[in-house]
Amino acid sequence: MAPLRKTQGFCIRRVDFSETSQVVTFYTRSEGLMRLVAKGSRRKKSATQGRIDLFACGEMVYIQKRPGTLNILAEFKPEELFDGLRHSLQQAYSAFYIAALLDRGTHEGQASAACYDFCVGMLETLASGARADVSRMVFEAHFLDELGVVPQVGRCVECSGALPGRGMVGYVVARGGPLCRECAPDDAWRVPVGALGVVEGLRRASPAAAGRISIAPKLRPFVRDILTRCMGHALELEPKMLQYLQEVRCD
Amino acid sequence: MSGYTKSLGNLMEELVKLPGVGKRSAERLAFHLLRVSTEDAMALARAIRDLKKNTRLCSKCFNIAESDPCGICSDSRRDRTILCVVEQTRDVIAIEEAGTYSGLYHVLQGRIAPLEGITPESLTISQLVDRVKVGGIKEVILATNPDMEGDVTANYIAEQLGPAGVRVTRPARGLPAGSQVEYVGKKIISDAFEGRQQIPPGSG
Ligand SMILES: [Zn+2]
Ligand SMILES: [Zn+2]
Repeated sequence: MAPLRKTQGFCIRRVDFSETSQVVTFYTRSEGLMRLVAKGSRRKKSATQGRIDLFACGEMVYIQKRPGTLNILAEFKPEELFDGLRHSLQQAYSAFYIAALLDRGTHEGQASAACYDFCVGMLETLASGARADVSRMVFEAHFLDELGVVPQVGRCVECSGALPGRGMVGYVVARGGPLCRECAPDDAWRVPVGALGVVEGLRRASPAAAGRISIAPKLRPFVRDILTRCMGHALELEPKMLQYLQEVRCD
Repeated sequence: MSGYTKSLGNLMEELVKLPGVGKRSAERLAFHLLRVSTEDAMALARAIRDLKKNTRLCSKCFNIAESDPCGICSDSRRDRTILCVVEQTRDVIAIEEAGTYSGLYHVLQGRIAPLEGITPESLTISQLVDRVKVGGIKEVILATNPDMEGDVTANYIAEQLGPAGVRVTRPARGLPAGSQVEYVGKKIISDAFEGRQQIPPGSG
């Protein structure tokens, strides 16, 4: 029999599979995304202590199957349920959004302990009632980094020339950054230089700090737009999917 | 589906659309139906046709019914001052089987799950709020599943019902976290309803 393995993880998706089992997707610390069968998880008395809830987080014991087949969740004892998420639609939507990005943006076997820790930190922050809109932006900036598409901010992505200290600059999402005056075509999308600094600040922020960040109202729509466009580009997502999560206004 | 006769292929194409039915099972079921008597096969066809022809949603509570209003809404013995909000019809059946609840229902037709594209607008929440505003209802029990989506939905509804000034309760936590109303036992449902707790206004 395949050996039992242990890791930490939280549930980002669950589908009822039969009357007694679920297929669950966990984001784990040592293996990244993992799909498992949780047998008996819809019954009250099982090794996984009832149906596994979304975002339930803790130590998991699983049997690793050969690639291409589902692993089996042998034991799961959630230590954290992030109850604070349940009390507001904004907080919950932001957590759902994190789950959606992990599901779309990472794949099985792509592990990152740092990203895992960051996600758990973000869920804690959201559950504690921190501002959902800014928290979500902190996550997005960080996750873009994880996806390898850090929005470049300091220099022109075309000529590496310096950007003006103020005013508007062209921005090319496909190139992942801004263009100086010489390189920017006339019809380029333009954003304030200040918004680029904010994006960089969000990227460097810790989950715990996310609730304390304030963004100048003038820059906010541009920051929001940069993150949405970059995320859409990185994940090859229609803006629709990103948009409906922003339908719940947090401002 | 090549190799099969046209009718057999058609039937299999319809059968694979059913939940939990793969190509293999569809083939097995199709050949089974071919073997059974014409009467038995026609009885199944009639049952499906009647189901679609005779069932509708009750315009008051959105439960599946054969009449409008449904049997529960039109039953004069039911307590009209109390409303139990559930995610789906199967929950109504489970609670009715437990046999201790005698008020009316409101079926949401799902729960808030943005990842599946289900937002508050896709549910019957606004109709619920309208129903409560009309008056006569003293208590609303939010019996959505005790899991993340069910809790989010319940808290959102509690917030929406705030201005109406009715007592809003949630079944006691006897329902195990992450469980589903339709699968928990009768005794547990009864106890959970018995020990329901008020959601204080403005806590959503
Ligand atoms: Zn340049
Ligand atoms: Zn009815």
